Amino acid sequence: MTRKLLFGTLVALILVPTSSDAHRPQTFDADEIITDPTISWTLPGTFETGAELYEFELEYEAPFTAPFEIFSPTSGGNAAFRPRYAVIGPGFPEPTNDVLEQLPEGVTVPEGSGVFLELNDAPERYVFFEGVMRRVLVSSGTIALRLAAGQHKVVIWAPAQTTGRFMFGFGVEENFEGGGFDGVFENWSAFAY
Amino acid sequence: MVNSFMTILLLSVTALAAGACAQPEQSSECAQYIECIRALDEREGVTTDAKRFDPSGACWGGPEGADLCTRACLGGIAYLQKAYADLPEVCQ
Amino acid sequence: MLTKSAFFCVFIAASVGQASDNFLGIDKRRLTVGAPLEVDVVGFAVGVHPELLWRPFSEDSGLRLRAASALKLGSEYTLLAPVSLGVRWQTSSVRLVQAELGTGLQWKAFLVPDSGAHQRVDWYWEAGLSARIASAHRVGLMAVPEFGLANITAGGLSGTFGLGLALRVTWSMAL
Repeated sequence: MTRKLLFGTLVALILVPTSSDAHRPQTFDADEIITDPTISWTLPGTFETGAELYEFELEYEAPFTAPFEIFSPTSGGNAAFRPRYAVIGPGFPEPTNDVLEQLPEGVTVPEGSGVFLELNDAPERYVFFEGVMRRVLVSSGTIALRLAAGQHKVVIWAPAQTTGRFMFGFGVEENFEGGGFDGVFENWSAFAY
Repeated sequence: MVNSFMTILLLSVTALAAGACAQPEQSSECAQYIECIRALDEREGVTTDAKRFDPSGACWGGPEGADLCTRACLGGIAYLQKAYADLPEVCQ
Repeated sequence: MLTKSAFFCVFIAASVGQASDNFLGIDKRRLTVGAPLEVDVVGFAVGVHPELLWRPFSEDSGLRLRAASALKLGSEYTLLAPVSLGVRWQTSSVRLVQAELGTGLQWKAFLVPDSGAHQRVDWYWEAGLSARIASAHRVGLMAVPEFGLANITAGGLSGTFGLGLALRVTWSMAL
């Protein structure tokens, strides 16, 4: 009887559907940052001086929509940090002068491209518990963006030379094939507490 | 005594594991977002890859993913309404 | 509520210590109580993890059934583990140094300010060494890797993946 129950327990545990919705970790110093823009990714970074600029590119053959957001890990007094990001590419509204002024210095908008601008300035931000590495993060606000076919650039910066740590996340579908955890242990402090 | 303890322990674990597993369905927020995207697609003559938000999409594999997507759809609709003037009626 | 849960095993231990040879129908000589201090190194938190071990077989047997409860405080959340159930195998308690290996399931709740309680079931493993410091007392060190198995949500269970590693400074007393 006990053996049968033990066997049943193991089978039941295996059958519990796995849906951790974890992003594929990646670092900004990778040779090719986003190898497949249709799966989910997370990219950590630190603004040591506040003058840094983090960038990566996304290229889609057809229009694509998925959630985008930027997080601030709350550990180490980082909760108040509010990094900003912009997605620059075709299909987004043509930037107004006000939007252009808010972009960091040196960032240009190519002819025919538009801008999605996240200022991360909502008074109340969503608090997210990330169970894989047991961290608490505050989000800029999750937003489903529709990116037209073509090349897009994601730019991340810190407002008013503030400093702090961030995690950029986008996408839904998990895929860890082909070295999905490469770089995690070398950059443990960026991904874990 | 040992068998009784093991039986209770294993029954509890089995019940826990085989019990009601969370299987969320597409949220109304994402249903509206998809409807809006399809209306925009029709206007532009394109097809947006939005399969993750579809009723059988990756968003609905578990509660965390469902929460994430629902927040995203809510934010996505709000952004479209703010950023574009002439949206199809289903986007309003 | 939290305090009651976390120190449940200590209360049991105190009761057992003061009672007769039996506790809830179990020969108390088959029981060991422990009150380890524990540090989580994945998601920093520190606290206590009191436990009760029961030897179901003969005195020579190294098998123990384990029930435990934990309360740990971290900078980002409070971690409450109301119930852990498992088994632990240990080498002879006659020897000065004893090796211990264990495994089991733990129900835990991460209590996050402004976000609520995130509950899940983890599968834990234990590996440690202890040394006898008095006839019935032992101290030691233990490493406890943990793997998140299933989140417990209002809608039911959902499979998950989570990592954890705790380090324990152990103290135990055979009753």
